[in-house]
Amino acid sequence: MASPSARGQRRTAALLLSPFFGLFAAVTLAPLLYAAWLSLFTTRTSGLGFGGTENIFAGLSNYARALSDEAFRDGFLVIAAYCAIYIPVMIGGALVLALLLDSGLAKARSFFQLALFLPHAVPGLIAALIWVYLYTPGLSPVIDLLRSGGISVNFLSVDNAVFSAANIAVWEWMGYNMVIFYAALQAVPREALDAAKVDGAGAVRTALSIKVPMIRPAVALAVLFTVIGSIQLFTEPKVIYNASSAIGSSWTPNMYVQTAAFQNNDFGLAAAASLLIALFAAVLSFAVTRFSRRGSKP
Amino acid sequence: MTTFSTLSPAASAPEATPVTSPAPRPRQQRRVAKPPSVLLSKAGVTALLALATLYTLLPLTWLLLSSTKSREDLFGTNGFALGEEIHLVDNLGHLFTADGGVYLRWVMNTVLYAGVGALLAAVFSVAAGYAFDKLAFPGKERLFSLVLLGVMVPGTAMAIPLYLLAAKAGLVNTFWGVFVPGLVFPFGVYLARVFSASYVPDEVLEAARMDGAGEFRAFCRVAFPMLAPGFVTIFLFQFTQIWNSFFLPLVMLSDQDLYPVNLGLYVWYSSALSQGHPEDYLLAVVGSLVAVAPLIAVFLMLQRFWKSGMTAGAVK
Amino acid sequence: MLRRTTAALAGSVTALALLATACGGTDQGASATAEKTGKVTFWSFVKGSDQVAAAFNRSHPGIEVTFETVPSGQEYYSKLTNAVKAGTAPDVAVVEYPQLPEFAAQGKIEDLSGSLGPLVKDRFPEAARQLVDLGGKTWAVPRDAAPLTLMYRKDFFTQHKIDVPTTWDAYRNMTERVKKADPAARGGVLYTDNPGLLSALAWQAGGQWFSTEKDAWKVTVDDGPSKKVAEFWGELARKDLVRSLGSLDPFWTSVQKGQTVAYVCASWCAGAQQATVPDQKGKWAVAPVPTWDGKPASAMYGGSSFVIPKGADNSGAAAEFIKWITTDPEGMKAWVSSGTSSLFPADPQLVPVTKAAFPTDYFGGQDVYAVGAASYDAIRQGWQWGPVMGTTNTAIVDQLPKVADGSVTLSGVLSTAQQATVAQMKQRGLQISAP
Repeated sequence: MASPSARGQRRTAALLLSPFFGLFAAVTLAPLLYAAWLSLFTTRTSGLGFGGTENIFAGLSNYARALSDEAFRDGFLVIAAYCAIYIPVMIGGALVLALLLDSGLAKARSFFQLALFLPHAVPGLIAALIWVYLYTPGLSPVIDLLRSGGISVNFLSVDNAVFSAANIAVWEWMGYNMVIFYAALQAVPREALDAAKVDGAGAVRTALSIKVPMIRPAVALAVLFTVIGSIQLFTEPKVIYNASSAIGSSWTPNMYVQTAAFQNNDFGLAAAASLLIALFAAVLSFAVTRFSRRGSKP
Repeated sequence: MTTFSTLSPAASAPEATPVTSPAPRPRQQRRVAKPPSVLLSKAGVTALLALATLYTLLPLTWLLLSSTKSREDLFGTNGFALGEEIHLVDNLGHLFTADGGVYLRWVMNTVLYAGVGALLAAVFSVAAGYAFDKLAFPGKERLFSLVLLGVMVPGTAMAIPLYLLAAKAGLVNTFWGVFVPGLVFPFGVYLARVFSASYVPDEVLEAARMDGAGEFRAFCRVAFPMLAPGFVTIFLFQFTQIWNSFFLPLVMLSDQDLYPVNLGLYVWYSSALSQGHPEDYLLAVVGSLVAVAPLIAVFLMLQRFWKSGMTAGAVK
Repeated sequence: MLRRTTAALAGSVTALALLATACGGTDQGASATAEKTGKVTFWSFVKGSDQVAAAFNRSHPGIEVTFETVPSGQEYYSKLTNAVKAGTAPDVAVVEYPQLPEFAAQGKIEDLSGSLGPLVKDRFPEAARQLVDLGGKTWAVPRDAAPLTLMYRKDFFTQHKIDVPTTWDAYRNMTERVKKADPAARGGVLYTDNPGLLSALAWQAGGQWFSTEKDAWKVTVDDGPSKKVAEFWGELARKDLVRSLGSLDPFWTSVQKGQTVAYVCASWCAGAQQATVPDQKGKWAVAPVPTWDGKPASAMYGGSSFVIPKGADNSGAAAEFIKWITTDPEGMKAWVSSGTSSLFPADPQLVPVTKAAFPTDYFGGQDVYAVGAASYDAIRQGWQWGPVMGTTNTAIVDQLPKVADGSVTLSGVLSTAQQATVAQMKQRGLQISAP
C-alpha cells in the first residue's frame, strides 16, 4: 500500500484501460447516447406527405408506445417460451454429452468433440441457408422422410416456430457448451472420483453425485450467457421468418426493433424499444447472477 | 477457489488427463457391483455420441453435396443425395472467377476484418481485464459496470446510430467503418478479468514487483504470457463474431470491393432467384462451403488453447 | 367505385396541367442549369446494371459512372434510407414502383419534375406514368414495365388436352384438370412470401388500394374487387388446387420437378424461367393473363424505376445517366446485352431493342414480346401505390402462409393490412380521408 506503488498501479491501469475505453466510448457509448437522444423524437409529415418530413420532440411517448404495443410485449412471452425449451435442452444435452465423453467408455473422443463442435464454426448466415432448406416443405428431405413415415410436420408454422428456432440454436451452441463442460470435467480432482469408485458407485451415480456438482459453476455461467443471448434472439427467428412469414415480423423484441427501424422508418420507436430490451437484459442477468450465487453458496 | 489450483493450463490440456487411465479397472469393479445397462456399455456410449454427431453433421452434408451439383440437380434432386453429375470443380472455378474474382477479395477482406480486428480486440480486452482484476484505481467497479452495460446492449439495434455517427466522421463505405467497431469487445474484457483472476496468481506478481519490475513490465513480461489461453479464447470469440456480423457491413459498405464474405454471399443469394440470375444461387452455396473451411481450420489449429481457455472462464 | 377512379384521374390530369405550366413549356428548363459532367455513383441490384454503367461510360466521356452492387429486398431499402439520412447517398439508385411513394413521402428522393418530368410525360404511357408521378410531381423515371402474363407447360397442356384459360373461371377449371391429370402437379402458385402478385391481381381486377383526393389519402386495401380476388385465390389455395409456397427456391424446385405446370407471372419471368430451369427448353409457352370478364385487362407485377436520392452530389449528370438508361436505345440495349433478360421497356418505343436481344428458342420461337405488349396496353389506369408500403406488405406477408391451411382467409388478410396501413399512416401524420 505504499503510495508510489499505488500511483504506479493507477498509471498502468490508465495505460491498459485507455485503448479499450477510447474505442468503447466511440463505438458503443456514443451510439448508445445517440440512440437515447433519437428515442425522444418522432418523424412527422402532413397531408399527402410529399412535402417532406420534420423531426419533432416526442418526450417519452416512444417508450409509452413500445410498452403499450401488444406485439412488443408478446415478444417477451415468446422469449420466455423459447428459453423454457432451449435452455434445458441445450444445457442438458451439452452436459450429457460431456459426461458421456468423460465416462471413459467413449471411443474416438477427439473426433466426437470436433464433430459436435463443428456447427459453432459455421457462420450464422450459412447456418440460416442450411436450416431454411431443411425446414421448407417441398425442399426438405427430412419432411419427405417423415411424411413417408406418416408424420406430417410444418416446421415453419406459428405453433412450431419456437421449437424450430430453438433447434437451430441448440445445433449451434450445444457442442460449444459441451466442450466447456468436458474441459471442466477433466479438471475434477481424481481423488474424488477414485473415492467414489472404491465406494462402489456406478458411472451414473458418480456422474450425478460427484461430477455434476463439481462443475456446477461452469454450468451456471453457461446458463447466464445463454439467457443474455436469448433476450437478443434475432438470427434464428429471422431465418424462420424468411422461409415463412407465418410467425410475423415482430415475433421477438429484437425483430420488433428491426421492423420498426427498417420497415417503418420509425427510428424513435426502434431506439426506445432497443433501450428497453437492454434494460430488461440487465435486470434479468442481475437476477440470474444473484440466484446462481445464492444457489452455490451452501 | 480450490479448483483453481488444479487448473493450470497444462493440467487441463486435452488428452493429458487422468480420466483415461483409471477407467479400465473400475469398470471391472462396477461389473461386480451392478450389471451395467446396455446404454452404459462402450458401444452404447459411442452409439449415443454418434447419434448426436449425426445431428450436428447432417445439415453440413447438405452444403457439401449441394456444392457438387449442377443447377438442374440442385433444384431437381434430393438434398442428401448426390446429383447426376459431379460439378464441384466447375463450381469452384466459377466461384473464383465470378465478377472478376471478387470472391477471393472478399475472403481477404474478411481475414483483415476478423483476423486483425479480433487480434487487436483481444489485446485490448486482455489489457483492460487484467487492469480490472489486478490493479487498484478509483472508480473501478463503476467503470466495470459500464463494460457490462456494453455486453447487454443488442448489437443489431446499435448499428444505425453507429452508422449515422460514422457518416459524420466520414467513415462510411471505408475499410475503417467495419474494422474499428470490431476492435471493441466488452464481453472479452469481462472474460479477461475472469481469466486474470484464475491464471495469474497474485504471488507471482508480488514477486515481480519485489524484483523491481514496473507495473506495466509485470503485465507484459509476466502476466500476459500466463494469459495466453485466455487470449486465444477471446480472440476466437471475437473472430467468430466479426466473421458472422452482417448488418453493420451491410449498412456501412456499398463498394463491393470492401465487402466481407458474408455480405458478398448474401448479395449473391438475395438477388439470385428474385432477379433471375440463378447461377449466383449456386455460387452462394459453394461460396458458403469454401467460407466455412478456413474457420474450421482456425479452430482446429487453436483447439489446444481454447479448450483450456474456456474451462478457466467457466470455473470462476 | 367508378366515381373514385374518375376523381383520381381528374386529380392526375390537374396535376399534369399544373406541371406543364410550372415548366413553362421549355423542355430542358431546370436541368439545363445543372452540370452534366463529373462522377456519378449508381446503386442497383438489377441484372445488367454493370454492363449499362460500362456502356454509358464508353459513350459519355465527360461523365464517369461508378456502379455499386447492392442486395435486393427490404435490406436494400433500409440501406438507401440510411444513406440519405447520413448524407452518403449515391447519385442514382434503383427503386421498385411499390416503394417509390414511401421514398417520396419521406423526403428521401429529389423532385425530378423540372429535369426529367418532361421526358417522363413525353415518352411513357399513363400505365407507367401513374406510378412515378405522385402528388403532381415526377419522382422517378421508369425503366421496365412488368405486365402480367401466364406461363404454362405447353407439352403438359397438349398431352392432357387442357385449354389455356382466358378467364378466371376457366383458370379454376384448368387447375382442377391439372391436378386430375397428375396428382403431383398444380396449375398455379400463391406465394407465401411475396405480396406482389396478390396486389397485381387486385389491380387487374379493378381494385384501387390507394388514391389521393386533394390533400388526403384514401386507403381501400380491402375494396370489392380486391376481396373478390382474395376469395378466389384463397379458395384455390385451401382446396390445394394451387401451391402455397415461397417464391424463390421452393418455387423453382417445384418447376424443376414438374410440379408447377402453370403460373401467373410478368414479362420478366420468361427470362427467369429460361435461366433457372434450362433443361425444360421448348416445353413452355406464354399466354395473356386470364381476366374476369374475358376482356383484356392487366396490371404490373414488379418493374423498376430510377431516382436521384436527396443529397446526391451530381444531379445534373445523374439525370443525364437516368435518361440514357431508360429511354435511349443504346442504353436499353446494354440492359439486355447478356441475352438472358426478357425485360419489357416501359418506353414502348424501345420494345424492338429488347425483343431483338431475347432469344426465343426456349419458348419454341413464340413472340413473347407480342404477349407483353398486348398486356402492357391493357394495364388498368388509376392504380397508385401507398406511402407506407413497407407496413402494408409486411401486414400481408405475415398472414399469407396461414391462408392455405385455412387459419385465416385471404380477404381477412386484406382487412388486417388495411388496418395496419391506416394506423401507420396516422402515426406518421399523413392525412386520411374516410373511405
